[in-house]
Amino acid sequence: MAPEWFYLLSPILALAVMVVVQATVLRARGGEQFFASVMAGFLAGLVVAIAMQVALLWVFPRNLDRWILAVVANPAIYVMLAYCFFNFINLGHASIRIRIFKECRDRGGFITHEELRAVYDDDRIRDVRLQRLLEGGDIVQEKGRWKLANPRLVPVATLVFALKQFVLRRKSEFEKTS
Amino acid sequence: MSCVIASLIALAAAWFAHLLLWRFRLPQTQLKTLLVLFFLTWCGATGFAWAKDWSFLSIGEGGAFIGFLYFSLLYWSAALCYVITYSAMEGDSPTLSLARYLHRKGDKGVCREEIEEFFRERPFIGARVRALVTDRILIEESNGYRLRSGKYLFFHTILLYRRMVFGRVSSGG
Repeated sequence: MAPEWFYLLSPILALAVMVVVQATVLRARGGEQFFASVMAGFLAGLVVAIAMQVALLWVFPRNLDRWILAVVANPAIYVMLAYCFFNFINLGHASIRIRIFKECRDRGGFITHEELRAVYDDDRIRDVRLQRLLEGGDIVQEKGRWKLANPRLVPVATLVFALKQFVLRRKSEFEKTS
Repeated sequence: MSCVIASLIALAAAWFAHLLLWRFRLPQTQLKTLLVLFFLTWCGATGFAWAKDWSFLSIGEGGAFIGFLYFSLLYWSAALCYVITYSAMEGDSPTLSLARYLHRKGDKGVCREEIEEFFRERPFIGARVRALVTDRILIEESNGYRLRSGKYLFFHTILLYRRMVFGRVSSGG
């Protein structure tokens, strides 16, 4: 078996480690601290990915191709697959569309306007998202006012809105395309 | 490292084609169109490699087959990352929108009324339901919404995984 097969499998194995560690940590915490479990899984997978690259370069004869696979391609593949996995599991956690689909499916494939409003309305979205941000330490409530406590979401939000402006030429889905 | 370079070139070609098409006319089903565009570009690149006898994809002892697998893995990992990020661009995330809003308000913060006004200006539920209708997942009827027949493997997989890890999915939020 050519050594390149081991190189190819290494980021996929690292992703498998991330999946297992993330699920285990989340279960151990009773479904709480979702983002902490994702970070734990990502870091565990990253350690495994790096360790495997070092091992592969140590065990097999090195050449320029293998150096590039170990230092550039494999870490990039792992990080991208980890991003895909995080967003996959986050969809079940936060996607409104998937939740509406589920509600409709659970009602035999039809949901009335009243049923939909009873289960999901914008006030509920607002309250649940505020609570989630409070519990995650992203915002604080002081003297009846909400403030940002941890700016970790701001770079992500800024990037997403900048891309939206560049690709779609609008800042929000609630404004018309120019 | 030609398979890495080949994947970068193919990704760049797909992305420029996406920008050109979006400037010309915004597709109604944006995510599906984006996936089709990435798929067609990958097919084109694969066809080009086949025409060149796979020679430039070869890696060391692994040969052209592993080179092709590396090219495909790099290409599709990056393509899916972009499609996922695009879905965040297409529809505003309530959480990210709120974080940005609070960041702009700084230490002053916002009161309850300002937050309620912020969400009144952004009817997220209505927008998501409209998106499901546009994507032909829901059919709008006079008194509600009907699920269009289909397998919806992607949705079911996500919900199944969530149930396995989180337990029962609660409504709301």
